[in-house]
Amino acid sequence: MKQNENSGSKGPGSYIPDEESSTAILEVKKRIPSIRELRDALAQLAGYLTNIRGKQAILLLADPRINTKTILDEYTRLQTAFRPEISERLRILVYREGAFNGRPTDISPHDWKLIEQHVVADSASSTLLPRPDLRSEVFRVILHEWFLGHGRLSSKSIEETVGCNYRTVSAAVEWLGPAVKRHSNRGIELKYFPKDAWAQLLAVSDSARATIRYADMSDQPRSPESLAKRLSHTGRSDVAIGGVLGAKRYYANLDLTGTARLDLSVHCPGMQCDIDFVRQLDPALERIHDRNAPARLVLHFVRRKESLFDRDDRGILWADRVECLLDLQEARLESQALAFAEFLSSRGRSFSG
Amino acid sequence: MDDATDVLKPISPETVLREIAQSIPEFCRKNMVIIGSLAVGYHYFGSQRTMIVRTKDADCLLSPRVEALSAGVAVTEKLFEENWEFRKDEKWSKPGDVNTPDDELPAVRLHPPNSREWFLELLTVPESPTDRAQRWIRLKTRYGHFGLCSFGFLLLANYEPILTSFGIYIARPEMMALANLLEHPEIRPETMSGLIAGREIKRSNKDLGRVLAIARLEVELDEDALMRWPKLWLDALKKRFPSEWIDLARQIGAGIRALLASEPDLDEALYTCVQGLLASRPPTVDMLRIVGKRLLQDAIEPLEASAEEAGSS
Repeated sequence: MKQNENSGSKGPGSYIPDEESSTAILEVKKRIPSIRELRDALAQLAGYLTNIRGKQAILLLADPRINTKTILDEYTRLQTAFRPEISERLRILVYREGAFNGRPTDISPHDWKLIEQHVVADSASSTLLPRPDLRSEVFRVILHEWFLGHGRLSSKSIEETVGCNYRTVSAAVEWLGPAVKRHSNRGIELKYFPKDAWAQLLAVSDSARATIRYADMSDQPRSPESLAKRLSHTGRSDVAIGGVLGAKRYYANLDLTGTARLDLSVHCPGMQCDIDFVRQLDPALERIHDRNAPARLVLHFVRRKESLFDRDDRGILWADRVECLLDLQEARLESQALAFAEFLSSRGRSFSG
Repeated sequence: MDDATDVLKPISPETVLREIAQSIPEFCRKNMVIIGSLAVGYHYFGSQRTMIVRTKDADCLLSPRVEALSAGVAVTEKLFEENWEFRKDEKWSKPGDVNTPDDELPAVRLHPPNSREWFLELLTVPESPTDRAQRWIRLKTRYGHFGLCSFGFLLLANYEPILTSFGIYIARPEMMALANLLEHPEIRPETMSGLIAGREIKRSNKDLGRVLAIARLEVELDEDALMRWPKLWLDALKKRFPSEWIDLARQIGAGIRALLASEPDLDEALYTCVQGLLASRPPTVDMLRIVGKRLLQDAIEPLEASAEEAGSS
């Protein structure tokens, strides 16, 4: 199938399917909200089929908002309204939660492969995130401020940075226990690096940051530096460089030459995030679910209201120190993480006395 | 005896280039640009003496056009004097003569002395940027009459060629890639005249496969190299095709997109790569598809965008 790049502009009489092969055309509708839109899509394909012979028309509904039974009932009802030479070439596929509703045998293997590629590409371009772990976000903000030597913080400022209420901040402070000194007027101050809380955060870091990993499938992997350079061409202002590259920015003496992967922090306070930029970084990147498999690119989502990203003179966005430290530990660079943590803590300690 | 076979022989680009350079008249070296897989092979692994390229012909482009005829005669006569031999095939058992019509003349295809592993073939550039049809000009030599062929986008093959230590030039790989992309805006049904390693292959798939092979070899040298191609391509198109470059640049990606969308065609392209330039480290079909996607993203789409911008202003 040939992907039609300009399929966004579809008017009557100028319909262009999303993809076309020598045997089929494919129309993809994402999160279709109503029966009315389903009818419109089927009618459009039926109209198209009247003008071409020998091809199937496949309507692919990705994560529709209406249930599958309703869709299939409507499809069956409409089929009887079309001429047989049209209805017998019209197919509908529902893709929901990673699976198709069925696998019609009269769709060629080649077309199936391309349908699946389309679905994979689509699911790679947008991701639905779990509920944010705001307690973790509060902790990371408090730690970030301590690393910067900012000392005493007001609960209000934390609430505003994280986008939460006083109770969430209070619960996080409670969890941090004796590591936090409370002041009057809801002021708080970290006394030392809270190792226990940090260990707990590390244990749930993957889910707290909704981490997504990608591996290289090309046999010619791009370096993290190349991927980072390409990131600057995407124009994304919500994605920042973390990991080893980020840590080295804050701590030039980090004992590590070269790195095998790029860690990026993606700022997403909402529930859904567009991660289409990954394909722009490298079409060879494919999402993997095995934590132990070597990853080339790792995304971590920052869910608080303020990203705490830092833009340098060249316009490059950098993830904050806490994210970079988490990235090192997540990458199992233990000695480097320890040295980086020690370096960062020295500033906090110097203030805390 | 018919010398024509479909077998691609493993040959060393460096050895072939040295033999050609040493055999032709010294004053003609500046006119000779090696193109095709030998040039690509020499560029990417010419310094590795053990590295081989599977091919059967060394395509030699004579330019500029005004000097091609005289250089062609001088080269052909000198090679015959050095005991190079006419390559016979089903159609031609000997060179043409004064009675042979222009379009039936055999090309200058000569085997080096005592070898049937490969042969040299002489070509030239088209007379004008708009003339892309296959044309023949007559080479009258002491050893018979031959045709010097020009076609398509060979004008790009001698754009800023790379001088070798042997005094002859090789075409820039990215320019050969550009010429092939322009030559094949679609997958045409015509197949190669001979089989490639026992398999019938569409010419479009072989040539577009060559583009992917070049891109993969280029990335091996420098992961970001393809990002520099759009500017090189743009400069070359503007210089070689000043009145047409926008239209040409707009269609540059059509062939590769068609190739990537067709599993059987991509498989043919892979087969030619694995039999030829990528034999030493063959990719899978999925890896070759990624090469195509990277090429589109890094080189083709930026050039298309430049053309669109220029076309709309």
